[in-house]
Parts: sequence; structure tokens; C-alpha cells
Amino acid sequence: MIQFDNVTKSYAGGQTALQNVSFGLARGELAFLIGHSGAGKSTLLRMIMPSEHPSSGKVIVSGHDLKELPNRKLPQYRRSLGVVFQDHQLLSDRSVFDNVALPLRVSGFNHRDMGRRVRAALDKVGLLGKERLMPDTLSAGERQRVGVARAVVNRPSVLLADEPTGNLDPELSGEIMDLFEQFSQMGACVLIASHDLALVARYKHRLLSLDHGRLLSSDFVSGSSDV
Amino acid sequence: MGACSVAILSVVALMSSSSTKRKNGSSSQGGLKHYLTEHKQTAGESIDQLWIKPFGSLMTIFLIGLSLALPLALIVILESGDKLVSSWQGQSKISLFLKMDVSEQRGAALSQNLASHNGVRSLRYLSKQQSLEEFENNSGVAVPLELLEENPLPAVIVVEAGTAHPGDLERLRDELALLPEVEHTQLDLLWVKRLQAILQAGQYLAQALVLILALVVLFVVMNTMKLLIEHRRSEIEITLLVGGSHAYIRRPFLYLGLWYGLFGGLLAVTAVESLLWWIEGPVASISALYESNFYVQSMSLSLFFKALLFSSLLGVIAAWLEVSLHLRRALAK
Ligand SMILES: Nc1ncnc2c1ncn2[C@@H]1O[C@H](COP(=O)(O)OP(=O)(O)O)[C@@H](O)[C@H]1O
Ligand SMILES: [Mg+2]
Repeated sequence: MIQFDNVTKSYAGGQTALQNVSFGLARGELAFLIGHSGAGKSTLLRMIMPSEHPSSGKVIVSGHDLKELPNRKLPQYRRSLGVVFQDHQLLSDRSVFDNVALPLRVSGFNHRDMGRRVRAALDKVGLLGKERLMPDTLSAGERQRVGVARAVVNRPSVLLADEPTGNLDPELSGEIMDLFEQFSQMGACVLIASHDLALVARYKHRLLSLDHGRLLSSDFVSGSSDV
Repeated sequence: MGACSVAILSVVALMSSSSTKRKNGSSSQGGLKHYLTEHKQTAGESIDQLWIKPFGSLMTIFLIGLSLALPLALIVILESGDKLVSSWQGQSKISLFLKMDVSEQRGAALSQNLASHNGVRSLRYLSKQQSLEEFENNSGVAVPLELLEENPLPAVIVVEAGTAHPGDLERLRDELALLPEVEHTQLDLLWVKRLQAILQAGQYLAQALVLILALVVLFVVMNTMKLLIEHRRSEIEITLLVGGSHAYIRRPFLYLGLWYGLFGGLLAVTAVESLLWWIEGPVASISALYESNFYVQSMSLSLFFKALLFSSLLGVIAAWLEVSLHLRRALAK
């Protein structure tokens, strides 16, 4: 479902964030993307959204070569994606409800279905009842969970999460991870970037390990003695 | 107001309905009713947007109003000028001098025929005898007929044309000149032509002004939009990332442009109407001095709607251009 072929990304400044990265991820598969800070995790996820394109190599998602995807097809493609951003990316002048509803609104949901789906998503992240609050009045962990709710509200077939548990205590992190696992069991392809090895070690999933832009291995399974 | 706003709203709807929206109908969960609700909501929300930066909005509307008031005032004055020309309609006379051998009966019959002619508003038939009397009255000279063998003056038909347009008048004159009874014709057009030329020049000036000031308005609205887009930059970025189409991003700005244009247009109309009200009295007294029935009228309803439609369209187009520029820049990155 997600396919990277020899992807290299160099920034204008000269840094090479990704170097000859190749891997594939199937439907229903959940993988952790691990590596030190600056290893290229966020860059790799941005290639899938896509908010950036590779300097060389190909990224193919759900059969689309993303570099060839015409602009007018981009919105439709992105609606099949759910993204939890590292820095939440919430709209500060919109309520929790409106933030979570945004992916539904842009794809033309009617109000009744929108309300039902938004409440279901907020319920899953434990924020039911906070629809009317503004993001600024929430704690960092709550804001992060709003970001998670927004990513899953559209029931995406590809779910990307960039440090989704960075601000959460272990118990809440576990609940969010359970949610991601549910999604992959329902057939979604889930890719979670994290540098929290303790969290990763608690689950048995595939590991994509990045080091200075190079993919060390894509065959490890977390929770085993290797990690 | 009704027809006007419906027209404008459908333009906005058209401009903001994207190809993606139509092509990917499968993803759309609501249909037309939902689509309209969304538009209504966006229109309402964008009105609220005006109050987020009230000073900037006021300045924009004020600038639009001022820019459009100038050409609009000129257009209204030209409209009045046209009416002035029309008010002189009755004074556009064509004199038909009949041949000397045309009998009095034939002359009278001809004038009766002509009275039902399309281009003729009214006419007066002067027989040879009446011509002579008129001449004597006007000149104060008694013509000693007994010294002449016969009355040397021809019979005349004085035609008041139904039009004041020089071209039409000349055409009518040429047509009447072909009548077998008519010896020659006389039409005095100089002053009408002069006035028409002035009005024509005024119209060119108005067109040029409309063009230049439309560009000014476009620039002003685009600049305001640029600031608003900057203000909502991150929102636009996120909306694009979760699958918002360009049309979706554009929509609220198009409505904002619509409101700017509409309110600016209303301001311009109000300013011009106030000006007309202001000069109404003085113009009436000058008009009375010249024994003219010319008076200042407020602008026609059609001009009123045209002005609002024009300014609203300008606002929408400016918004469309600026958002498109921004989206193109965001894509190029
Ligand atoms: N927009 C950018 N311009 C220039 N360099 C960047 C940009 N984004 C990331 N980088 C660089 O690319 C490398 C990888 O960054 P990133 O993908 O954010 O790492 P991670 O998410 O693993 O911490 C870093 O060296 C970073 O400085
Ligand atoms: Mg990162």
C-alpha cells in the first residue's frame, strides 16, 4: 500500500534528510518508524502526505505515484489519509469540534453525520464533552489527542502519526496505541514515527529504523530481544 | 436588490465550485441541499470576518466606494445630458419648402399624410398665403402683392421630428426630401451635434475612468485579501493537508470579496445620490433661467443595480485572483 523506491531527499541547505530509502508497507500493517531526533522520520512522513517530494526515487501510495499525481486529484488522495502532526497543527480560533470536523467538512459531509462521527472520534480519545472548548484552553496532552481524533475521524485507509504520544502519560499513550492497532486490524496501513523506545518495546510490530537518513533495517519486530 | 444578489451569489457559487467537487461526487455526502447550506454558512461566516479587522474592512470599503463614485457620478450626469437632448426633441424641426406649382389642396393632403408618419411627432402646414402673413408679421414689412404677379413665397410644412438624434433626423430629412412635392428642405443640426459630441466625449471619459478605477479597486481588494490570507496562512495549509480543494479554500474569500464589493458599491451609490440631492436646487434655478425643463434626476434603477453588480463582481474577481496566486505559490514550494 505504501511503497518507497530508493527515495533520497536533500534540502536546499545541503542536508540530506533521507538517503536511498526503500521499503513497502501492506494493508492492515502497523509499523513503527524509529530513530534519533533529526534522523528523517518527519521528512519520510511528509513524502507520503505529500507536502514534499523526493529529490530522487519514487513514493507510491494506494497505486498513486505521488510525484505524478495531478493537483486536482490531490484533495481526493489526501482525504484517504489521516495524519497526526508532530506539533498538533490545530486551528487556534476554532473549537475542538470544528478542528476534528475539518476533514469531514472539506469532503462534504452533512451536519448530522459529521456530528456523529466527530463525537465518536472524540470518545475514542477520551475527550467527549469537550467539543465546545478552544484548543488554547486544553493541556498539551489533550491537544495531542484532538489531533489524533482529527486524523481518524475520516476513517482513513492510511494513518500517519508523528510522535503521537509525545505529550501523553503511559496510560493514555497505551489507549492511543490501542486505537491505532484497531485501525490496522480493520485494514488500514498505519505508520507511527516515535523516538520513545520504551513505548515501542511494549508492542509487537514491525520496526523501520532510520539513522541519519538511512534505513538500517525494515525487518526488526519490536518487543523482541533485539530492541 | 433581490435579483441582483441572486445573480451575484450564483456567480460566487459558480466560481467556487471546483472541478474536483463535481468529479468526485461520490465523496460528497450531502448533495445540493447540503451544498447550499454550506454556501449559506460560508457567506454568513465571511460577514463575521469583516469585523475581525474592522478598520481594515472599513478602509477597503471606503476606498472602493470613493473610487467608484467618481465614474458613477459622471455616468449619471451623462444620463441627464441624454435626457436633456431628448427634452429638446420638439425643437428639432425640419422645414419642407413645397414646389411653387403644388396646389393648396395637395399641400394640405400631403401634410395630412405625413402626420401619420412614424418619425413625425407633429407638423404645421403653412399655405403660400400663411407663409406670406408669417413673413410680414416676423419682418414687419408689408409685401405689396399688387406689385407682384403672384405670391413669391412657397408653402411650407414644418415637421417636428420624434427624435433628437442627429443621424435619425438626417435620415428623416433625406426621406422627406424625396417627396415629389418638396422643392428643398432645411434642418438645423449644429447645436445638437455639438451637444452630442460633448456627451460622446464624456462617455469615452467615463469608460476610461471606469477602467482605471476598476483596476484601482481590484488592487485595493487584492491587497486586503493578501493580508487576510497571511492571517489565515496556517489554517489554509492545514485545510489543504486534510484534503480541502482549492475551491473550498477560495470560497470564504470569494464571499468576503463579494461583501467588500457590495458594501463599497452601496457607498458609491449613496455618495452619488447625496451629490445629486445637493445640486438639485441650484441646477433647477439655472434651468429655469434658460427656460429649460431640465432637472436633476436620481440615477435610474438599472444603473443602480448595474453599479452594485459591477462592484460586487470586482470584489469577487479580486478575491479569486489573490487566493489563486497564493495557492499557486503554496504549490510551487
Ligand atoms: N524544511 C527543511 N529544510 C532544511 N532542512 C530540513 C528541513 N526539514 C528537516 N530538515 C533536516 O532534515 C533532517 C531530518 O529532519 P526530520 O525529518 O525532522 O527528523 P526527525 O523527524 O526524525 O527528528 C534534519 O537534519 C533536519 O535539520
Ligand atoms: Mg520529527
